[in-house]
Amino acid sequence: MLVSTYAAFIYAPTEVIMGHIQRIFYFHMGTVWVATIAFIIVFVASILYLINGKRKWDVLAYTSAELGVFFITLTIITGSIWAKPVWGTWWTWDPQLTTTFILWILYIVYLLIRANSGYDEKKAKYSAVFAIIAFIDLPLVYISARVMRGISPVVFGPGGGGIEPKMLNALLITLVSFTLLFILLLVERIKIENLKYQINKLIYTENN
Amino acid sequence: MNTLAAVLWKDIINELRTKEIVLSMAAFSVVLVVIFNFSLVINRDNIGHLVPSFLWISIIFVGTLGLSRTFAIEKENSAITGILISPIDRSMLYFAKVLSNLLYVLIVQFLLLFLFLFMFNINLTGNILMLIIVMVLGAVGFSTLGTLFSTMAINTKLRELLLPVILFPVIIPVIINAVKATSLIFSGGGYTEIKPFLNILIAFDIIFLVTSALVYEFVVEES
Repeated sequence: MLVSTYAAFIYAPTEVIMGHIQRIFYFHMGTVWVATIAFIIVFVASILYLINGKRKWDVLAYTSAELGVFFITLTIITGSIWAKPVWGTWWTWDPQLTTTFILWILYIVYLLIRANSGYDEKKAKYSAVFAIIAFIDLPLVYISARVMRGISPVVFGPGGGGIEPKMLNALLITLVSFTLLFILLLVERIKIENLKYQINKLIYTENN
Repeated sequence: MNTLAAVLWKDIINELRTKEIVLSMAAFSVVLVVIFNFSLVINRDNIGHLVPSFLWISIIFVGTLGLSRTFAIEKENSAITGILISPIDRSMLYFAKVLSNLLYVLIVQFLLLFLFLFMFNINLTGNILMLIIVMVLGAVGFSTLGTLFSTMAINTKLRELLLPVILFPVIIPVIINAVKATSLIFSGGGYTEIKPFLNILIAFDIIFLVTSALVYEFVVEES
């Protein structure tokens, strides 16, 4: 799996025939795609946790949120780098960007809640509640940002309308490779979390 | 319904006896308006833009102050344990708390509106009924999530410090729409212009009132 991920990383950019700046777009798409999956996982896992209270859902939500924050940070950074030469600015308060920015803040706050809630069960419940609220909040943020700025056209996709078949291939490869990378990281992260849990349990039994 | 009334009544009596929440919120409101008066240069041109945004900034600041108090009172003598032991529906407890928070927010909200109009010497020409509707809807949106999150924040290590951090990003839709609608009203906008903002506010209020009531038991029982 690792091999395929790395192969795609090196293969994808060589396939590109557009200007150099445009290449970052594949990583931009890849990261935002993965972050979206991650936050959907957080939402679903949080609901499942609140319903049946199993630890594995909490671990899944937490690890996925962490990775989501990491990838959405990359999305914002790559997007800024892309926007500087293309739009002539690092940042605009366009509805999409506003929503992404709020999304980024919301999931950082999610991690902040986890870091400050005390014992495990409380931490899990509080963050699950916050994750659900935050996820429902995002469409409202997007609609509000759209209404506020007037109906602005959605600036998205590579310039020039249609997409080259080769570029589409590269895009698909990046999406697949990023998804694989995400799954790999997620699985490893869950393993670490479980090891941490076991160590804590051992320390606890040692002490008593 | 009975539980709702009982908990709400308890909060109101408590507040009437101590008067600590509303009074400190009111005092903070006055101080805020005085500070804005010194720090802002208000003239005829920018009044329509500046006053609504500063009005709502004041409302969420002062409101947060009150929110963090209402649940801290329950924690002080472990009063919350008594409430939780009694066999009442947690969502009813939530609605009661939302109503008492809403009451405080509404009181200071209209005090703030009055202070702004008075101290900045504004003649309110727009539709007053619409303004009241917008302010009530904004206060409801603020109180629904504020109640849920203040219960959460008070039980964490950071206490009251965490409340604004978790509450402000989530209520951004309320702020955007309330500010926009208020400034439209100030500049004499009619119902058709304000309608899209009102719709989002109503949607926000309903969505989060329902979701928060559903998840409140998980939050309050971990206190």
